[in-house]
Amino acid sequence: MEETVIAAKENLKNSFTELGKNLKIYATAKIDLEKSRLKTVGTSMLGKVKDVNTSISKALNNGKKSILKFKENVSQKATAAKAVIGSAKNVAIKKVKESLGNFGQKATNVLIKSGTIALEGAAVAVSAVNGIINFTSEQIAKYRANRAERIRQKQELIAQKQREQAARIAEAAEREKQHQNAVESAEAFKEYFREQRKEAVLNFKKGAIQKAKSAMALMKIVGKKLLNSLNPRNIDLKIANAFANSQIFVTSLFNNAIKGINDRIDFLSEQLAQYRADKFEKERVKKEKIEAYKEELARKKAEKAKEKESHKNAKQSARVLSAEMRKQDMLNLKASVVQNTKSALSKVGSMGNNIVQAIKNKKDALDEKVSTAFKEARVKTAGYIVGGVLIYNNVKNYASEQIKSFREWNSKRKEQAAIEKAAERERLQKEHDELIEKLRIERDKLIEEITKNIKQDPVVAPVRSM
Amino acid sequence: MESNESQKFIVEVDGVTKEADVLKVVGIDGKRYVIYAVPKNEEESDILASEVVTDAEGYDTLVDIEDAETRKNVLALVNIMFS
Repeated sequence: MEETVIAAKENLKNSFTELGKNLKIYATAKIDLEKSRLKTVGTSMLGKVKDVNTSISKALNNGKKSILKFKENVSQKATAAKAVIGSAKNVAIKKVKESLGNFGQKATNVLIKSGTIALEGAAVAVSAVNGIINFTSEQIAKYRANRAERIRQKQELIAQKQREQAARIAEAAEREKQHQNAVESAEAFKEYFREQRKEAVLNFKKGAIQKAKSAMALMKIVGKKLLNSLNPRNIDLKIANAFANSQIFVTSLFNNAIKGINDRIDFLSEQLAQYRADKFEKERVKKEKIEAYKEELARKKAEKAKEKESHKNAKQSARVLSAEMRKQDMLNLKASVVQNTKSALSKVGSMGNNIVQAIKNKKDALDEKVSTAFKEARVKTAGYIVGGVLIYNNVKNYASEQIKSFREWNSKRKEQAAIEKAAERERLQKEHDELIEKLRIERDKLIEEITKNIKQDPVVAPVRSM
Repeated sequence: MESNESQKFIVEVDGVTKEADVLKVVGIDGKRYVIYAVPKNEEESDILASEVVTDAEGYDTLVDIEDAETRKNVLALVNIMFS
């Protein structure tokens, strides 16, 4: 197997070597062939160039002769001879004159590019460089046709470009419009947010002003003026004053500072450091005072709150007490009424069965009346206590009615009693009188008898008067 | 090429004598035509063309180009010159 592989490799190597040799032979033969062909072409071209040079020399001579003759002889009027082709800028004419040396070549190239000139014609034309250049009307007509076509194509291209440009402009206008709309929207948003911000700033300013006012009030309370207005005209002086107040500003420096108002002021770093330290100390003292004031204020506030709370509690207690007292008063009143009622009833009871009966009758009547009144008024009664205890209003009314009735009854009873007493007295008086009269009669009888007897018996017992 | 000075001649345009500047002499279909410039003002010049005809005495004279096709052909050459 290994031997086979080695043999195959050897064969492949030999094949490559043989192939390289064959390629080298082929390349050498090909190069020689090309050299030979190029040599032939070069010889032919040299001959043609020689011919062209000869033609050019001839043309040049003819042109020179023609121009010289033309120059010498052309002097007639051109009015009738001229054919206006067009007009051109003098600058362009100057350039044309400078470049007319290669006009023949250029015209030939143009015509060749237009496909309107044959190789012979080109050769003829090229040979006429710097001389008269000959063209055929067919060549020029073709050229004109080609040029017209190119112009048409160019114009069409220009029109196309113009249309595209118009489309782009329209598109750009549309984009611009959209952009403008977007910008306007953005501006509107901006305006909105600006207003919002303005409002927020105003609110913030108001808050800040309020806070500043509070701070100023606070400062006034602690007896310190914290804020001093600064402006570019007095800031230097204020700085100087600040240094003077901090007692680190010597007179000379102070004067320098005064001179430097609205100009440059120089300070020593030690001064500034001292000023900062002094300011820091002032701030610290100020803060301490503010803190002390705040604590005092908080303490007072707490006291006030406590007092307020106490007052509130007291008020609440008073309110509760008041309600309790009112309730108690009510109960007392009820108890009093009940007591009075009981007392009245007791009194009524003590007046005897008739009176009790009368009261009872009256009470029943009154109960009926009250019940009827309540029914009519659709007032729910809370019920009444059996044995004469009613809810306060009912009892009160009831008792009032009872007392009133009792008083009326009592008054009538007294009147009746007085009448009866008077009648009794009158009766007794009458009986007395009658008895006295009887007695008198009896006495008189007795006296008469006694008198009679006295007459019979002179001793008569004395009579005691009634 | 000859210098430009050697290619000037005098012409009368609309009753005014002017100096014409020869730009080129070309041959079309065996006829010669001269293309020349006549100053119109300081900036511009008219481009004119005339046929060059040799008279019996052997002098060159200028003859107006009557043929429209020929004028167009000359214009084409002028266009090539100025292109």
